[in-house]
Amino acid sequence: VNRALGRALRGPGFSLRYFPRGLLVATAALLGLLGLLVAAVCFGDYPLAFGQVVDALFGGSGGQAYIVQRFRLPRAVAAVLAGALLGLSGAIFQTLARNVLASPDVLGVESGAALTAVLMMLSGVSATAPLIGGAFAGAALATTAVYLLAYRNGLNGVRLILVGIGINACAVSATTYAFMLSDVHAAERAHNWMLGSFNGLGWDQVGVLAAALAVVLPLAVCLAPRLRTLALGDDVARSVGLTLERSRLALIAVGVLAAASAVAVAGPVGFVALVAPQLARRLVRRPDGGLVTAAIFGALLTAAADLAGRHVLAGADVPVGIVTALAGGPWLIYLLATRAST
Amino acid sequence: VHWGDFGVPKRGLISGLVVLGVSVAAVAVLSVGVGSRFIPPAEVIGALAAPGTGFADNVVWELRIPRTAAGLLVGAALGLSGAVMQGLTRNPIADPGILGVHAGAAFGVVAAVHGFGLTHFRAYVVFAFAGAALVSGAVWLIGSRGRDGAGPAKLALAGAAVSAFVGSATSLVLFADSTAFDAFRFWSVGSLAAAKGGLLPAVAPFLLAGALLAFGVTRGLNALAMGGDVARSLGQRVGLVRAGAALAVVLLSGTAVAAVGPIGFIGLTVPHVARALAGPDYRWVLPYSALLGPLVLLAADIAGRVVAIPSEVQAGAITAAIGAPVFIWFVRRKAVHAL
Repeated sequence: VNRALGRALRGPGFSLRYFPRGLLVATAALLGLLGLLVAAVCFGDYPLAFGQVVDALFGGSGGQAYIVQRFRLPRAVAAVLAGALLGLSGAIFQTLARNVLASPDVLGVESGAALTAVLMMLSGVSATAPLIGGAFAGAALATTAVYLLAYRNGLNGVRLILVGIGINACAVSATTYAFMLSDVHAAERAHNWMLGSFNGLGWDQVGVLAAALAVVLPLAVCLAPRLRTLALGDDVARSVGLTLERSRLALIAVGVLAAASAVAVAGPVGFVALVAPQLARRLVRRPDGGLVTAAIFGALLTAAADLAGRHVLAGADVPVGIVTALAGGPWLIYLLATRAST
Repeated sequence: VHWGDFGVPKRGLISGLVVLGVSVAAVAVLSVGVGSRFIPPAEVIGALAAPGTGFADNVVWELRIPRTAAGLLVGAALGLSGAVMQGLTRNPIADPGILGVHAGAAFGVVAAVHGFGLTHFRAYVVFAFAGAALVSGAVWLIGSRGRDGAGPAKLALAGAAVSAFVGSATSLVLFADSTAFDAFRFWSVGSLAAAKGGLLPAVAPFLLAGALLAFGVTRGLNALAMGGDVARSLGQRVGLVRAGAALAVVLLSGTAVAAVGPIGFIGLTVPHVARALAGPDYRWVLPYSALLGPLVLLAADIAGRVVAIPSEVQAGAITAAIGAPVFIWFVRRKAVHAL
């Protein structure tokens, strides 16, 4: 088998290319994810056996059912969905910018969402729905500003990144200034939001994430061939007939939509968008690890981090954004140190 | 190597450097003359000419001159280290923080407060520098393993992974220890006000060594800009150049962060402006960065002193607020090139 080309499944009138190792890795990661979901529902301050969980899921009505259906399951599902969105978004941006450090944050998704969410919290908004809407609007606004300011006779990848740096710096600086002006309790609440957390999320928020994934994932899969062509460089992409600016705008929009939904619901969960695509491509052993695999790894990492965050410090729910890097960092470092390829 | 294709004539480059030098001198004079507390120019000049023991003499000699000197040195160090870092990783998003300097320094400060109960500013300087050096060393060891050495993508990724890991450990301590959080948040804004007279002589040798090393690897960086293989075939000792560049970044940026706290914006943006003005030749990009850095830092520091009289806004908070719009305007106007 040629590892770079994969295998093909051919039938009358169709052919489907697939990569045995990619399928294997993705399946293993999905199984791991399933195990994590079960563990996330079983473990906690009030441990439940697997049988009890199954009872609670199907028709239970007591305290156990309440814990599982109201708290543990929505939280675990939210972590999986948000992680998948972030991993997918990271894979799109890293391939698009051909830069291993590129992520939705570079375009201002995080800093824009954080600025509006923090401003709303500091001015007394505490309901969940307006905060999600506000954070999403902030992310959308910041990325639109970056895109428009960077656009000059087409899009230049370097200029996009540089303008993103500028808008990010503005938003972060405004956020810092808002922190300095506000009273300490509101500031602490806002600061905790900025670490990212799945604590207390309910089915409403899960619904938002699921809707976003349902829109974004099919679009991303449809756009994946264009993304692979764009990764070869503008000149090659143009010469094989790709409509450059339209494809790029569509991919950026999908990536931003994915990341902005996750950040709006759970706060800026750092490091997932950066590390998930890298883990995927290093384990699949192809330069392009695949968007879906990156999404699965994002989900795996976030779910594991959320589970660990509930247990790493006794009596405290450590924000998931802290744990993602504690868990994902060493994994990536290990892969970097032991594999020869870049 | 002939850089004529990039269309920046040598005479223009030199006069640009002169203009920048004069601007830096002007900002330095302003920085001595302007403060959150107004002192008439005549008194400032009097204090400079004949140091006495009055209020104006005290402010000028004990506060404003050390602060201005710190701004000059640290600004130059941040600009230089940013340019070297981007040359080393060939990545426009890579600031010195990517080598683990900021994460290491922050961890050092938290370790000093949480682990040893030290809250004195001098202790922060030592611990921050030690942390920066240790973490950057780890990044280098991981990023340079393997046959092809510290390639750009690998080094950047190793730095990002290690930085995020160390940063998380810092966050975890801060999350659990509110005393450390309180001490840390003041350090983490980044301010020139903390730089008192005795600090500068202590850090200047490190900065000088870093600057010399940075200028020593300029030819190597020029060759590396064409890729590791081309650089090797041009006779550069690629591993040595990369190690020298990384050491320069740690010396310059580690010392700067230890002295005044993390001010990230300058190392990230100044080299891009320098490159747009001077072309891709690092023999010019480095001096331009070394002058643009203090220009931006001192201008921001002065603005921070007067924008909210009678209190002050720290340079770290205001650099981006003022610098970012200018930076965006600049990159929209100029042609930008990949590294």
